[in-house]
Amino acid sequence: MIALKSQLPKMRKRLITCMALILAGLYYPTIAQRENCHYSVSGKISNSNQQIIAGAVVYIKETQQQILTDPEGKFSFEHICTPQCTLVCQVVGMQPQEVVLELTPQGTYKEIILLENSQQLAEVEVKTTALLNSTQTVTELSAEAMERNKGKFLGEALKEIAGVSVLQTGPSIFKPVIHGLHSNRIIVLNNGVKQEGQQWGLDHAPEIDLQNVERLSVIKGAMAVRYGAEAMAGVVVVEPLPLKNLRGQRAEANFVGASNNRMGMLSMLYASEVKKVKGLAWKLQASTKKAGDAFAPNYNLSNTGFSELNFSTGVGYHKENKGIELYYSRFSTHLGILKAAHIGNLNDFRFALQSQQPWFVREFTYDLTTPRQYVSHDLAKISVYKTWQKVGTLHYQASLQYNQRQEFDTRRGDLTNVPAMFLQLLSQQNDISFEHFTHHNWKGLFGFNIYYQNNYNVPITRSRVFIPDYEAFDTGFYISEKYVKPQYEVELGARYDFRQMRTFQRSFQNRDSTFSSQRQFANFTSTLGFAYFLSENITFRTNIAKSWRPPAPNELFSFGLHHGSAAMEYGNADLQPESAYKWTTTLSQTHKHFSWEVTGYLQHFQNFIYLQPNPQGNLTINGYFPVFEYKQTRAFFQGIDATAEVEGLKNLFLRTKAAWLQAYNLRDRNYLPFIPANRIETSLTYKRKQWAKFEQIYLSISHLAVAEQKRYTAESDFAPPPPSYQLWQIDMQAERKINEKQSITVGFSVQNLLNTTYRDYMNRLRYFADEMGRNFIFRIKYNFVSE
Amino acid sequence: MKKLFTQTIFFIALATFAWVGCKKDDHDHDHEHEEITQLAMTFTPISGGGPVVFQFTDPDGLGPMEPVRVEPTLRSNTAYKVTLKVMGKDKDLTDQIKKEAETHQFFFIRVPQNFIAFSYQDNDKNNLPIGLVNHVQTFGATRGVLTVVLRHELRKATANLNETNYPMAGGSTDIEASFNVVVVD
Repeated sequence: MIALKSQLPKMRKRLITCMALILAGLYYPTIAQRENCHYSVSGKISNSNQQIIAGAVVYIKETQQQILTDPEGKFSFEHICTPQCTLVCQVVGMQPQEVVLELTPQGTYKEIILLENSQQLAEVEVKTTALLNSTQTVTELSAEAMERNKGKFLGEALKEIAGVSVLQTGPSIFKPVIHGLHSNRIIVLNNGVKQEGQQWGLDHAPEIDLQNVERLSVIKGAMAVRYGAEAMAGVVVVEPLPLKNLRGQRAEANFVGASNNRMGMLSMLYASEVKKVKGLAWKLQASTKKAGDAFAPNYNLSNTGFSELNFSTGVGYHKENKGIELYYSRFSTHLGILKAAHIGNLNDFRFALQSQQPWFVREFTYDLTTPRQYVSHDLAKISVYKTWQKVGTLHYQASLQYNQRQEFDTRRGDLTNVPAMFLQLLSQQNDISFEHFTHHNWKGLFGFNIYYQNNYNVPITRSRVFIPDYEAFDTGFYISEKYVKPQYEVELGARYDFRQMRTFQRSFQNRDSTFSSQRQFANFTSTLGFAYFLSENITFRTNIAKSWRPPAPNELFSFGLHHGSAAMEYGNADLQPESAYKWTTTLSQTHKHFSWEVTGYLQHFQNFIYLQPNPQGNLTINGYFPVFEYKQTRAFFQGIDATAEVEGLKNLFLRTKAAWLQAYNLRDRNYLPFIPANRIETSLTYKRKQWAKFEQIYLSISHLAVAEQKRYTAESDFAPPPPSYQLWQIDMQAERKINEKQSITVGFSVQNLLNTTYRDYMNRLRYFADEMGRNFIFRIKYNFVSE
Repeated sequence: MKKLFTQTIFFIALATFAWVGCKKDDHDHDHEHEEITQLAMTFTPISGGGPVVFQFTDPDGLGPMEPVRVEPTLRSNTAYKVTLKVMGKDKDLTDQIKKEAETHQFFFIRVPQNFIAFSYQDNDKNNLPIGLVNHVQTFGATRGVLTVVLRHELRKATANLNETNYPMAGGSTDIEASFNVVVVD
């Protein structure tokens, strides 16, 4: 708190200076034009779903005057000298539109609706849209892909994006991996709030309910300037249903059933505007699912069931130029981890590797035994904004997150029902930003964040504390500016972060002593980006960013056995912050009958933190354990993601996506462990707008080939990576309209169609058991929309 | 309305900062432990005489400290009653193992094989051995390595379960401690 107070005056001074500079720039008018030019035009840009489009380029052909739409999707031009003008509006992913307007001195208003570029193509799979920053590569999951992934986990859905994979712990824990990096090297932005769980853990998935997600996208690049340190590989952006511009009512109910683990999922959503108060809207959403043990082709994956209960609600009040929103969500899950993955020491591990079948296989059940986890996550936030005409918008957001994690291990006596790990993490975040409207082709924002976090080990576990109690203060200041022309955009950004961390920990030598240590980390982040619109549908984007992150608590302080891996993990309190340069380049084209996108990236790390095996090992009363210590090295990542789609015959689409990645430990001249193997996925989809009484029909068969990870360092792992594998999948879906307002959508999928036995390198349980076998999934959705 | 709006923002900002300021800092940062830290094997000669105690002590449990062994000698051609004691930090865990005998079993691995003879002298409710009380018979003067393994949650009913095939029965290892055993005349 003391540190925070001392930061505040500095912060205020800086903010005032920044504001003064920007304001001075804004009131620097082009006086010469004013005399005889008294025509004006204003308007709003939206898409066919009435969603506003911010950041679209609007220009007048005759005068070359141009601006970007504001966050409300609005634009306005003044001091136009001619009574007629041609307005051109364009944005990536949309068909550009030209409108010829007759102007009046009183001002003309025009609403322009942009159509998505070759709509049919865009609907099939993922699509690229311009979100906040068009010099960044942003890939959004299509509505159809969202539909297909109903009932699954967030990480599973994200896998649909080329370059994104998962780090798995059996069939119930999926951690997103962007360009080979995960945990504290990516940020998950949930409804505008940086998700704070115990994300350092490899078996800790993001605590987010996919059923509450309206839009899901990934920024593949070091987007650290806006969202803070740690966004080294990218950002996962999770957006629930927006309340702004909500008209009428919307209701949705989903049921998903899966055969393999006998899973059932039910979710419901209701959102409505309040008719009596214009601008007031609210929503309520809930979902629940329950699954039992999954089945590999040859045996039951005992103790891999899970159950979830999630809930969210929000209310928003939006006026012309200001608004306030309140939001609350709760996620809770109870999940089992493959029983056979519980092992006592290295010898047990060797037995597990040699055996044909996991040592613990039981009859199917929904019941969970140890090891199991109970995790809950509460998020409450309030956000307000105010827009000043021609100046900009001020945003303020405060949020509170409360993450509870209990991990139950196999223990004796009265400890069986006592968690071996019980962590409570409280995170409070304040974000203030000011987004100024386009002025002399410059558009941008600046802001600051103040975060506080407290991690607490609930003292009932009667076991060793894996990571200590700690509290952390983070402050960050950033500015990001973009120079926008119809043909190109240049983006510049900088950020400064300061983190202070106090820990209450045990020392190595004397495990009972408690002492407090304090560390401070501070560093700059910067980015430079460039986007060039080669033609109406070819875009080139390139971005170079310097990012950093402070070491995570487990890297500094973890001490002891990592459950399920038969390895000791020793933190290193002297670790230095990790820093990296990432260069991302994307070339994409969208055409009526085909589209493609290629992203290449290079990333160089200084002080890359990784686990290095210590050849000494550790002999204990439980037997022998290999020891892994956190060390730092120089690391280099290089990779390519590619997606291509072509409409071969009428209604028939061929799509392929591939990811290729290599990661090196430069100091030791070997490979980094747990890097996703190269993969290619091909699908053939038949689509029809209408057939009999059904609409939006599609039928798809897809094939996934995953190579063997040949680039690994033998001593860094217990077993070599598993061989390559191929999987087939079919998906189908159709919609039936009941009337104007209501519709029913039915979907059916078969995963692992041939019941293939395989193991994946990125599954932490690959040492013990095969992956899930064939799975039939049935989905039904009821949808109600009224204006 | 405008005033109300401004006030709301101000209030929220104030409330969140105040909340951050009022955090408590009186956590109990010290926790108990349940880890096994010591295995003691008491060899009492059946024909009379003082007992000898083998100890495997690892005071930091799974920590990095090297364990300490106490390895007295055994006498040749002697029958011993061997009792095991499992200690946690400040706590005797032997009774817990006895209470949950159906899910626990000790195995005694001898290298070279049978340089001393071992037999179980205790049973759980299902008439299956535990290994807390045993009978040992030494032969001529020799030396070897005795590894004591405690398995938890194994399928004890597995047919012909012994110290060489116990991994087949599943479960996980709670203790794996090796002793150098010297048998003298």
